[in-house]
Amino acid sequence: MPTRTVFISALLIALGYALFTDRVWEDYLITYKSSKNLVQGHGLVFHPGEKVHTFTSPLGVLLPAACLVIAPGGADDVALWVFRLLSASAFAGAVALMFRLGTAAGYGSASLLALACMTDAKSVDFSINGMETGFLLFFLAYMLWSLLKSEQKSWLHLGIAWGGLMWTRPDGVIYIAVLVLSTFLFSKHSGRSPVAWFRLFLQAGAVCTVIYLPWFITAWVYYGTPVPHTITAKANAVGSLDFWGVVLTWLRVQTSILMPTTASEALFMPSANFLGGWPSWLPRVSASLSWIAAVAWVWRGFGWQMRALSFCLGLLLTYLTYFAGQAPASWYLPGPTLIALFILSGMLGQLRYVSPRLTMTLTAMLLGLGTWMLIEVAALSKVEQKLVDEGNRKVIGEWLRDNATPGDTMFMECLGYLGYYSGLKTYDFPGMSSPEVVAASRKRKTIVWDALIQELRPTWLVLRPIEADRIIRSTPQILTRDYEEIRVFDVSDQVQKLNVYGQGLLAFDSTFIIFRRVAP
Amino acid sequence: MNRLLVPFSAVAILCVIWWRTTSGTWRLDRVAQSFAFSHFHMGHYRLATGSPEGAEASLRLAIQAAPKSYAALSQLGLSLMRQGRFDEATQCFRDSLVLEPAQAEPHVELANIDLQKNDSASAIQHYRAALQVEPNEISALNNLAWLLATTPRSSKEEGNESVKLAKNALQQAPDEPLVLLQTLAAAYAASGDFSNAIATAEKALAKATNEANQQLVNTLALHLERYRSGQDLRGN
Repeated sequence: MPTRTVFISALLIALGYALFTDRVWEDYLITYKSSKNLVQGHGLVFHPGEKVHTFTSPLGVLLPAACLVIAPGGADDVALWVFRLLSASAFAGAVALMFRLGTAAGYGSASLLALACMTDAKSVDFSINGMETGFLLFFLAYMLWSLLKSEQKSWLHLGIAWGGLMWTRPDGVIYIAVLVLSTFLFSKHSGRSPVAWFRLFLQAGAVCTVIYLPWFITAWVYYGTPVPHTITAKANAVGSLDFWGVVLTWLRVQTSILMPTTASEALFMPSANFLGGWPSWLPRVSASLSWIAAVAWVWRGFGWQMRALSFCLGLLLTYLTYFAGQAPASWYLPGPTLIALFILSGMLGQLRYVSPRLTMTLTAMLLGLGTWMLIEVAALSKVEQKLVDEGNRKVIGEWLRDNATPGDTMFMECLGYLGYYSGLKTYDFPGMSSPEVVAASRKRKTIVWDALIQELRPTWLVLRPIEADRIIRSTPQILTRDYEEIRVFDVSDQVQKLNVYGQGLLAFDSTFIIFRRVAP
Repeated sequence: MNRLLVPFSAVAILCVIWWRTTSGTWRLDRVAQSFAFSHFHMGHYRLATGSPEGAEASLRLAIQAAPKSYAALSQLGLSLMRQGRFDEATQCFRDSLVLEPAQAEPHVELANIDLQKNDSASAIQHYRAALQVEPNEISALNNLAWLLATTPRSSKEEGNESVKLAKNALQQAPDEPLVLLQTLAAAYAASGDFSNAIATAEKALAKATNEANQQLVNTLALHLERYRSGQDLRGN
């Protein structure tokens, strides 16, 4: 199978998925609001006049801005589709690079690797829904290729890949760090001395610095800090880093087959699976596959590359588990999934020398599972987009735009559609668009919503039933005295009848209660 | 192997399509669970904000989606109780207990309904059942203590038990709510310990006066008078 065929197949799958679902993940709208403000001359900000770094990915905000500039008439839809095309191409490039890597590594299963990558539902979904995942996968695959197979100017390739990762997400530094560490640990049989590896990393680091430094300086000068406010807000909600906690989490990941309470469960699962509606056996399958890939490093029979990547996967799963437990946000997972698929297909490639029939059976099962999930996730995403996102959250945003008065503020968790379409000043939780929320949380020394609402006194609250219920149980006067219920937006009766998996995600956003402040 | 991957993938896709077209009913059962969760919270929120009718509607949707949700059945019972539909509420609490016997709340509410019907014997049974599941359930402790201390023909042993229950209830509430002090005073009297009954009632009376709770001040004054004359609230 030529690389070009792989690239075109992956591109067609991603674009076909985009055409079928028309998916727009809500975080795209958070970022795109800044892109649009930049193009309209208000600066790279979420709220004009407030210089807050409300996006995580520089590429994810600047590319849509460029797409909007070239879109005829400044049409948002056209800008989105151009961005989707770029992102889907990056995804296809990632798959093609993994195929080349698998072929070069002597995997008889390079085709399996390519097929498994292009049918991973999360990767496809997040490569077309406005997120930066396609680019992250591309630079990750480029990094792996540069590290493991590039023979000429590998330092330059590696440096460009690292620079690209940093432009894609600042937490790309995690990928870089764990891969460097893993490579050092398993490089004994690599044919390159530790000094040579060190020199390579140093050179690549210099290239990466040259590539990323302009953005780093720009962000520092423009916003007063190079750290995105999204990271500050999330870090405030998550808490501090504890060394022994990290070690314990790593041990949990390594033994996750016994205690499946880690991000391993989510690795091969669709987006937001933790909200329910998927078969209960699926997380167990996912946890088992992840565990196999994450502990492959202990087996000396595997090549050093596979062992290094396996160790690297374990560290990435530790990072995700430490901060998000079993339920990391979906866009964090495609990177580790790509690495896990590389390991699993490599294992299957070796297994075929032992038992071709078993290899074939496992291959069919892996691909069958991936294809099935891709189809199911496409069905789910189509419904989510049409009925929940555009049929409910966008409608709420527009209703607030029409019914709020200038200067009103709004508190809620789901910032994307509500923030974009209402145009209101937002106090979102955990405060990605709002330094006020982070300040309130620090002042009250809590992330409990009741305290934040009492401190911030927003004009509007937009709450899911579970959120309203939580507040009414702990501080009832907020909803009975300080606010009055204005309206309920509920599409659950339409969505509930539909025959799709993953209904937990749909149920989560099908009902919202709007409250307006009555207390002074 | 590479040559076989394409036909294998094609077969896998066909299998998925076949499965999708034939497994609808089973999947719809799973679908419902997710929505039950949302409806349940909506129902609880409505109940807490004084809209039992709205709560009933949401909770019925939750139960329709997940018929085995004992918590939703229990909440539905509460919403019906608040609408004065005691027989339907009783049925909901009983159904909830069939699904999950280890719950205190439905027993407490069944006991409260029994009290509405002046069936104190059955109420005592339900409070005892609630305390078997949750020994520190404060309303069950207080109400059972009150019943044992005030029901005519109850024994001195029951009076002693009442003291134990009332003390336990007070331990769960460090701010010593008036109603618990009132119960403890009645319990002491039922056990024959009138000096403690008088002391506790005086403490409650002072607190009620301080809180300007005139209705309770009047009631406690009457109780205090009885204790001072060596009478408990059972009429003994």
